[in-house]
Amino acid sequence: MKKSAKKVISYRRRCLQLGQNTGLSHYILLAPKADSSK
Amino acid sequence: MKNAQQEQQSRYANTGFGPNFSVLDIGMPDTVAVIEPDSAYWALVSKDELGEALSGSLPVDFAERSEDFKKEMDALRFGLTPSAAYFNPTERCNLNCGYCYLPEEMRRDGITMTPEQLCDALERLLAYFKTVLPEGAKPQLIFHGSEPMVAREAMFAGIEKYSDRFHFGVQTNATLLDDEAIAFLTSHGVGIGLSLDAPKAEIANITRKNWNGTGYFDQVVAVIKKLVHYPALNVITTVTSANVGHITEMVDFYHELGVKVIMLNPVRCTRKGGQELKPDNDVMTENFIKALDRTHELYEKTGRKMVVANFANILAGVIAPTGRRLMCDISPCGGGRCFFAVAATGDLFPCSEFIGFPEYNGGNLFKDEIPKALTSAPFKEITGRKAEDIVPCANCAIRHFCGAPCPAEVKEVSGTVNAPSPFCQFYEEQARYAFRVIAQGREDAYLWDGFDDETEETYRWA
Repeated sequence: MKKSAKKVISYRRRCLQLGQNTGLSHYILLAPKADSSK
Repeated sequence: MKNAQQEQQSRYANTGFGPNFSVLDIGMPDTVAVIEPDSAYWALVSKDELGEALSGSLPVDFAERSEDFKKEMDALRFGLTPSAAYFNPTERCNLNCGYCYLPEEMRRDGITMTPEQLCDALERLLAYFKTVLPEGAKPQLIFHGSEPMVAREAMFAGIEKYSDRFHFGVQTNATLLDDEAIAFLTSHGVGIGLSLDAPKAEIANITRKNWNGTGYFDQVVAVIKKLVHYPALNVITTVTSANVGHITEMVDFYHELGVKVIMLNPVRCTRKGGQELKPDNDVMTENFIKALDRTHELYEKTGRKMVVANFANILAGVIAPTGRRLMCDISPCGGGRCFFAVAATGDLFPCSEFIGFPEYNGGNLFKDEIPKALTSAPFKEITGRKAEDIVPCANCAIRHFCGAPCPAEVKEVSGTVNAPSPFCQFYEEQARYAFRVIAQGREDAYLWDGFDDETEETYRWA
């Protein structure tokens, strides 16, 4: 079907590593790539 | 022959088999958000094309993907297993912050693990994580408190022994971080979170002070300066009625120091002290949005980004529901299912926020099997808490961008976990701000570096 609405922004992304190291609580954020400091 | 649903599902939104699209004002003159809450689908639509979006190609486009979106949300909400643990190596703290979620007697007189006890605990945790994580994936272990540096000897022994098997982090008040400790933590790649509540001592020291009432502003700032180039640093400001009017100054202050990742977390109302320091929602919202605007101004002016991670996580949750890093703003929250907390006694709780509440103890690391604790009644109360069971969240368009955090404070404030967040209005406005960021094409200015590499695009209206 031809998309008739022109002025629309909609997109979605997904995590490539869901469940491996995701899932921290609100008061903590390990900065990305913490291991890069090694 | 097509059945009735196949024939009709995509013709109109909001009737028959069509999708239930909520239309959300996002504070822009020409644009609204169209949201299908269950699947966390959204589209930003020009107001003059709204009719088309509700009865034209948008419902058709959505219908083709809705099952995939819903499966993804189910996997995120109900299909994960723990990959992290919060670990309190001591009950004690050298500070007595006004809003702490742990009982005072615990922080003043509590116990501290020995190196042997801590390493035994890590060994047990490692054995558990091996059973649930993919091969090669390292669990995260966050030393937390109370003040984990009170248990320095035990904590460092654990990091030294297990640094190749966990991703370690430590959340500390920074007052016990001497140069030797900094060198140890940074050389072992430990994520470091510090806490500072204001850009000047007279405000910062109101809430963060020791048992004699003395604050440590100068000392914390000195530590931030030493760590500012460390890639795994973040600094948390707990926003209270005492500092809420200063958080834009705080953004300037952190940016001037060179800090790259901060959090401006509204105080948790888990205990009376936090409840008494809660900023009003409208005041919190107004100041928080000014602070976010300021980070963008600074980015434009200097080219140097400073991420406000708690907002970035809301934005990430909109763009990539599974790409969020923090699991407070989704229901069920991460407590007890993505992570759990270990107290200095070995007692297991769904989250650190519950450590002061014995009724949420699901077992003991040294006596019980972890899976048994994870399926205990107190854990199941938290892991089963869904926005769909809460009024007004059940009918809220942004229920999967907010998650009605946090069950610990909600329980204390409302007497049940099935109630909305005390900061409901604040979350509404954060979601609206996130949609404005997307409408303006400014996502990169607010998201953490590496977000694009951690995620892949699965859908785009074109």
